[in-house]
Amino acid sequence: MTSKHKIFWFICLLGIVLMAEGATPADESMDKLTIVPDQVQIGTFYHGSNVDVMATIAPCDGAVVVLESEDEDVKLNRKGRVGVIWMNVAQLTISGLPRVYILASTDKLDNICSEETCQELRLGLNALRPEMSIESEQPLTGQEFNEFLDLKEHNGTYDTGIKIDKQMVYPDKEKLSANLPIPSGMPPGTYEIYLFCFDQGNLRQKLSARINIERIGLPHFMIDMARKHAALYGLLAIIVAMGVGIVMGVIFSSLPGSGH
Amino acid sequence: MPYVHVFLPIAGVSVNIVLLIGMGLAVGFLAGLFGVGGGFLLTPLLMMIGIPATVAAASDANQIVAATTSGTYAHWRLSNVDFKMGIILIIGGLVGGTVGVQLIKMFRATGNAGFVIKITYVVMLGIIGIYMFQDSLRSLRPRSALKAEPQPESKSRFARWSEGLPFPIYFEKSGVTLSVFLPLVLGAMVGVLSAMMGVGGGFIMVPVMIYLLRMPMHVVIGTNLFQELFICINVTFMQSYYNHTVDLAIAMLLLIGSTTGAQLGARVSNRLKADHLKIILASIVLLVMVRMAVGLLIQPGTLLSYGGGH
Repeated sequence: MTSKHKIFWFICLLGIVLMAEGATPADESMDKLTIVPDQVQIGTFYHGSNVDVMATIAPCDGAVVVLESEDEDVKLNRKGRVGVIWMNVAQLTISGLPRVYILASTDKLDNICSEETCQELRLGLNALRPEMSIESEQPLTGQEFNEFLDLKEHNGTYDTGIKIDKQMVYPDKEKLSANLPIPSGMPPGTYEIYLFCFDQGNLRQKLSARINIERIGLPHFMIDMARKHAALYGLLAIIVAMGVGIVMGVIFSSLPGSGH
Repeated sequence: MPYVHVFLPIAGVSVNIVLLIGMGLAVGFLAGLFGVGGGFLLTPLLMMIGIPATVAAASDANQIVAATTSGTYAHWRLSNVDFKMGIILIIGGLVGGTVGVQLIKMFRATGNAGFVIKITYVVMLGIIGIYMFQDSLRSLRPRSALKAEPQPESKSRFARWSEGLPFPIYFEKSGVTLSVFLPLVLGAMVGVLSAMMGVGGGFIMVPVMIYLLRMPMHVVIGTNLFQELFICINVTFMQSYYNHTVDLAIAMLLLIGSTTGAQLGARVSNRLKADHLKIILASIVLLVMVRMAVGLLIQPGTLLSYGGGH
């Protein structure tokens, strides 16, 4: 074989390899959970946010995406009726439940995974219920879990009604994507996002990625100062207010038609 | 739309900037129109848009510092401030304000600070609204009917009782002689309410100065602004230091609206009849009171709320 033939066959082989590469997605984009953006910054004009969660995986019967924070002990007041007025009548501490729980799924959870599997993986609100423990000096009503969900859903930190979109992108791969809301009241921190894929009710694949929420700029400065340097913050608030008051007083008293 | 909402770091919520400045403008306009501070309207309005009650009250006190600085400056130039009376009221008010902040701290620990603030508002707005409404209706009656009414005694029972109190002082600017304890105790009472309600207390102090301290009207407004300034400085500092509830962002945005609105209101008030103004203000006060009372009487959407230290 001449050197020209060698070059010809080398180019042909390279072409075949490259075509084969192009026919299937790159390895890095496969079986990986991608979050865009993976950093949410709470700045001066922050009004909540949304993140896109995407993965390209082998087709499955159903999929669930969960954004979950660590469990927290939360002190709560419970309102009750005293005479005709609604006021706080009890204090309780709820433990064992995450501060934030946002869930997206391709279908109803009952159709995706068995009750035991859902329970084991903490998927869905029914799976969270047995995890809750309550401390209270007052007798419990049995409605605490539902009332807790009302509170969490009201401020947007629990949301389980989000849909995952499925799209076949290759003969043996489908793209899953969901748009998760990040409510404005969501506290800063690092949160884990999981993707669970099920076949016939059994877990087939689990992927995870992290998202970081942080305060920046003015909100970060103000919170930091108000909590760590409270006296200085108080003085600053007074000086700024008095300065604005004097400036406004001088401006308006110099305007024509001013009463003073 | 970007930049329409602002994140309030201490309150922990995001609100519409236009709404917040607009609220300041509207309340400032009413304040300028009726010659009152407006704080007693702003705090309930802030609560209605989702700001926690303790943050609303503390931040409102902060914005009153600016409003009263501006007002005191103007009245000082007109020589309308009784500094001697003002300083005694301030001493009482500082004691009362400090007690009020500690009371809020105690109620926060038991989880009922928001409730106490709201119920205090309902009671105070109710009393003042009804009194103002009746007063303005009386003044709208035909003059012949007024003449037919028996004239009040030259000195009330309270005035006779207060003359017997020890340590009388002559207040040159106001032209009255009063026991030092009277402005001291009344100042302390208003100070407690100021801290709890996040208001300068002008809507209580002005009637107190006119009816109980018998000060002339032209000195009342300037002296009230002077004492309110120091009471609110104290409340702002105490709330920042002990409760961490002053949100400077709320105060500054309200200020932009309220200072402008106050000037516009003051100019419009010259063209309207005083009695009609009083009726309108009384109606607004009663409406806010009813809205707050309904909030306490109707079952809330969520029975649980975050507890103290949140």
